[in-house]
Order: sequence, then structure tokens, then C-alpha cells
Amino acid sequence: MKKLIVTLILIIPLILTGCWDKVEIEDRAFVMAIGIDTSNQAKNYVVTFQFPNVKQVSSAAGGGGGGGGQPNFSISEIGDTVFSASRHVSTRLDKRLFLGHTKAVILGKDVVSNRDKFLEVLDTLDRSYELSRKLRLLVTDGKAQDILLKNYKFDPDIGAYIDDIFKQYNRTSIFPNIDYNKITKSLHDTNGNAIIPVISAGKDELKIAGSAIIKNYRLAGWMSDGENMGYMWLMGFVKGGDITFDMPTTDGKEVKVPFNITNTVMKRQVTEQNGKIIYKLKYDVEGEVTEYSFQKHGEMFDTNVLSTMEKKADGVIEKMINESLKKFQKDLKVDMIGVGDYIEKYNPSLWSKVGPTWNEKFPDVVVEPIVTAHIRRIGLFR
Amino acid sequence: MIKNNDKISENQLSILLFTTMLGAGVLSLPADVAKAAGPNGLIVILLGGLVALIFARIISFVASKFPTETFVEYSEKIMTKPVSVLLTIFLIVYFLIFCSLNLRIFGEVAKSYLLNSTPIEVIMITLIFTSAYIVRYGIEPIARMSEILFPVMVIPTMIILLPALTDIDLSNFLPVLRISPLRLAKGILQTTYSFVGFEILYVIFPYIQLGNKLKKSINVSFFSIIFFYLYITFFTIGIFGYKETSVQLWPLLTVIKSINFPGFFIENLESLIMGIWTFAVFTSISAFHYAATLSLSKLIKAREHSYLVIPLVPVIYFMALIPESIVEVYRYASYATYLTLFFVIILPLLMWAIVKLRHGGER
Repeated sequence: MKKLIVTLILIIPLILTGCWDKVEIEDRAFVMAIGIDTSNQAKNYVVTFQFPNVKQVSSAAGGGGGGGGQPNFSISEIGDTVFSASRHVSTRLDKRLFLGHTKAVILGKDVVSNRDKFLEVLDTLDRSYELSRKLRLLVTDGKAQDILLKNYKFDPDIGAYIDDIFKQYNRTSIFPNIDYNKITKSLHDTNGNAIIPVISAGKDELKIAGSAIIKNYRLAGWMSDGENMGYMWLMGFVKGGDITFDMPTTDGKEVKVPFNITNTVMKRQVTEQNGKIIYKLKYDVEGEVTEYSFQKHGEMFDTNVLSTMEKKADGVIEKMINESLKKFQKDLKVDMIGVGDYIEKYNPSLWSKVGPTWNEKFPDVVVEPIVTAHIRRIGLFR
Repeated sequence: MIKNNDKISENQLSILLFTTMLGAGVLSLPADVAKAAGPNGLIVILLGGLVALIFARIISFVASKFPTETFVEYSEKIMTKPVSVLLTIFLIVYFLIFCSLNLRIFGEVAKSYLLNSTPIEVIMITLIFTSAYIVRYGIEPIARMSEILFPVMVIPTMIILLPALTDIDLSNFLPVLRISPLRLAKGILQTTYSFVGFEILYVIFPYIQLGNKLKKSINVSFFSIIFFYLYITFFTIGIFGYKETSVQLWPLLTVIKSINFPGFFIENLESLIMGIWTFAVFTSISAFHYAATLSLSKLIKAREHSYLVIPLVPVIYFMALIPESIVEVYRYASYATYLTLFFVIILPLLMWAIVKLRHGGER
């Protein structure tokens, strides 16, 4: 009897040792950014993981100065799949990779250019239990590895850095504020079309501007900063940013005037006339003029100047929208601006007619943007 | 034979019903309704819930004609003895199937999200033995535990989702009702399965202190669970749209993954939801486990149900391990819905008709 009790007491701690999955925090590598490239060797992918030097971060927080070593590490590994690469990292790293805090995934150009590889990568991301859906998915016009392996001037932690840049997207509107959640939703909804922001590396800093257009799960083209803002207008995403227009002054010269957008309201409407689909967009843009001409004091209070300025701003915005439209309707022939989605939701009877052949119908849609700008403030000078 | 402290009040009944219905299915519910009815998921949940409520009321009507008897005894009076024995065996199997399905899905989710290197067997054994522990003590502790866990499950889930309110695109619910009536009816029928759990009404009547609030407490439990399901589905389809929702395995967890808690230091809220969800599964499993044990003990005329609790544990455990993969789990779950069709819709109608015919003249 005694023996039995002793045996039980010895066995119970074996069964009830708490968590089998316990990993000490210093044995974990909290991956902040992942870069995925294709490889021209036998294996398919080169995957780069970047994680902070926890030792240094914790000693800095404790005020213990120094810490020692680099602020972060990057490690690359090749593999047949992205997942196997993440596992094979353990052959050269004494820590276990943990992807729950990953902030950014950067795809190399070769990955998005190759439909099969892009689909494989997307599926890995979609099925992952660890990866958050709040992470930022970006494309680079080169190798993702190059961006992650560099040393930068400002903030070395690329994942958090990218996330912070996105937080102030509405200061410029030149890159789309789209996270992984929205990209995968767009891909599922439209069967393979999406817009992904572009990241590029300078000598010692990073830049996020413009976007990559994905059509049928493959890279179809790039959008520059300006074109990207046109896209943002079409989607009604613009809530801030600035545009510049030329303003003739009274003495016959021209000055460049910046118009700082503070808010935008977009209204949409779809009608069908003689078999043509007309998509009307109405914008009410609010903003302020922050610069005019130093010598023209008092001129701004003349309402005519302000209304001319408003018309000029309308023209610039409409031009932006039309240029972007041309890109989608004529060059790429892909509905990335949500016209189909709008018809499906608000005019289902029309959609049941045009829906099945929407890709052929989209280039013939007549889009009519009408912009009304309102200048609310002019700064501290009369 | 029935002890006084083994009775639950009608208020406890409504909470017990709520926690029993809220089980493993809540994780995949938005995907099911999105697949069945596209953007009209909310309407389908509402109507499906009302349909389930009607059948719950029919079951309770039949059962309340025999307030001191469980299904085993009164089905013998309504139909004949052989039919009754056969039906009881099926009912026990039915309870065991749902118990083991819940157990397996719980194990799968917990393993993939939280405990990657813990064997699924250990996760499941822990839960089923905890359930056995409380089931041994009868219905009153189960109901009391539901009362304690109810606010712990419902309130945090509702609060966690709130920051996502800004991500909701109301146009995802458009167009309204552009769907064929046949598809809508099918969707409603399918959603009725999400309310599985109220069948415990078949057997628990002798243990309710019947007053005059029975109908009200069944209504309350149904309307609150309809509201809870609507709330969750509103967020899921509102954020993802129905196309994206329908391709996900556990959309509720994916929604949690995509929530940005503003200025919050907790990043991965899935683990929090997992903890809450463990309670939801546990309350369902213990109720099903109890119902199966009770029916079995009545069938073999055992004096106490508590002797039969432990023998059923390995049965549930091995049933839960039958499906080879998560894909098979959901395939078996869809087979089980045929049994639901029988026990939730056909059998109540049948018994109701017989009771009406026989006892109709008495009044």
C-alpha cells in the first residue's frame, strides 16, 4: 500500500508538470519582420527572419546601459517551402522562432511575379496559426533580403518601423493603408486582384511609397506615388495628404500653391443608360491652403481668389483620378476600384446581368468624377 | 428518489440551456451561415433561432405532460415499449456523439493555437475527466457552474470585439434578401443545428422546480443566444465580407486576430478567447455527458446515475478519436446533423401529434 502511494506521488508530478509547451522567453526569437524571396538554387525560397536582440532591449529598459552587441539580428535560410525554411532555421539558431508578434512580411519581386510561388506563399500566410492578420504585407522591387540585412540610420527594428510609418499614412496618401487582412480579403473576393504597398531601401533608410498591382495572383504593374493617390481617391480612402496646383497671380506670374486635405466625403452612384454603365463619383473635399505668395497680403480675403483656388484644386484632383482610371481601365483592364463590388451590393439586378462577364465589361464603364473642394482655412496671414 | 437539493430553478434552466447551446460550433458558425446565405447571414441566424425555439417549445410541451418522468419513461407511454427502448438508445448515442464532437474540436483548436507540443489525447482527457467530476454530482452543480461561467464567457467576448467596430463595413450585408427562398430555407435549417443542445429538455424535466415561468425561461435563453450569435456574426461578416468568411475554418478566431486594440499592450487576444471558449465547451460537454448518463441509468433502471459517469468517459474519449483529421471531424459533424434533424424536428412533431390525439379529448 505504501509502495503504491509512493509510486503514485512519483508519477503524478510527471503528468502534472504544467505546460508542455513552455519556452523560456530568452529562448524565443520574436520575429518582427520576414522577407521572402525566390532562390535560383535547388531550393525554392530564401526566407529572411529579423528579430531583436532581447538581451540588449531588456538591459536598456532596465537602465543598465550597454547590453552589448547588435540591436537586432537577421538570419536567412533556404527551403522548398516557406514553412520548411522557418523550421530549418533551427539548425543554425539556438532559439525558437516565434511569429506571433511579426509586424511585416516583405515579398521580393520574383515571388509576386511568379503566380505559383505567390499562391504558395499566400497559402502559408493564410493557414498560419501564429501570424497575426494585422501584419503589413509589402512588395519590394528587388530582393526582400537586401532590405532586411541592411543597417539603417534611424530605427533598426524594421518590423516596428514599417508599422509606425503606416500609422501616419494619412499625412501623404501616396501609399495605400492596407494591411494583410485587407489584401487577403481582396484576393478572395475578386479571385486574385489586389493592391500591395511597395517598400524600397535607400542607402541607409527605408521608404514606403506607391504600390504593386496584382492581377490574377501575379504582379501586373506598379503604381507611382501620384497614381497611387488617384487610386486612393477612387476607393474613397483619402483622408489626408497634400496636392499642389499652379495659381496665376495678379501680376501675370504663376505660383505653386499647396492644398492640405483634411477630410473627404465620397458618394457613389451607378446608373445604366442605353446599355452603358455610368459610375458617378461625388467628392466633397475639405482642406486648407498653407502657402501662397509672400507679397500678396490681403489678396486671399478677396473671395474670388479662394474660389479660383478651389476650382484649380478640383482640376488637379480630377486629373489625378482620370490618370489612375486610365491605368486600370485601358492598360491593365482590371477592376481594382470596387465598381463591381458596388454594383453587386447596391444594384443586384444589374449585377446579375453584367456580373458573369464583368472583366470584359469593366473597361467600358463610364466613370464620372465630380470634385468639389472647399478651402476652410488659409493659415495665420491675411 | 429525487432528492430536494438536486433540483434546479427555472432561472437556472435558462442559463443551463444557453451554455449548453453555446459550444464548439460558435467558432465556425459565421462561416456556415456565410456559406449558406451569403450576405444574409444575420437574417438566417434570426429565423433559424426562432425555428429552433418553436421546436424547443414543442419538446417542453410534450415533456411537461409527464413532469416526473424522463424521456425513457414517457416515450414508453406515448409510443410502445420496443420503440421507446430503441429511441432511448439512439438518444444516448446522440448525446454521446455531440459530447465527443465538442471534445474533439476543442482538442484540435487548443492544440493548434495554444499547446502545439501537448498531445491532443492529454488535452481531451483533462477536459473529459473534469466534466465527469461535475457530472457525478448531478444537475444542480452543473447548473450552478453555468451560472458562474455565463458572465465570464459572454461579457469578455462582447468587449473584446468592440474595438473592431470601426472596421465594420455595413455594405457587406447588402444586398438584402436577393436569394432564392429554397436556399434561404436550407440556410435556416442548417442554422438550427447551431442551437443543438436544447434536446437536454427531453430528459431534465424531473429536475426542474416547475413554476409558471417555464415558457418564459426557454424564451429568454433562446433570445439571448440568438442575440449572442448575431453579435458575433455581425462582426465577422461585417469585417471580412461573406466571401472571405465562408472560406475560413474558425472565423471567430480570425476576427480576433485582426483586431487592433488601441494603445493596448496585449497583442494576441486569441489566447484570451481560447480561455473563454474552454468554458463554453466545458459547459456543453458536461450537459451532454449528464444527459447521456441520466438516460442510460433510467434505461437500465440503475438506482443512481453517478455509477455510470466513469464508464461513459472512455466511450466518449474513443468516439472523439475516431475521425482521422480535422477534415473528417467536420464531415462526421455534418453526418450528425441528420440525427439532429430527427431528434429536433421529426420526433417532437410526432410525439406532439400523438399526445394531442390521445390527451386532446381529456381537456
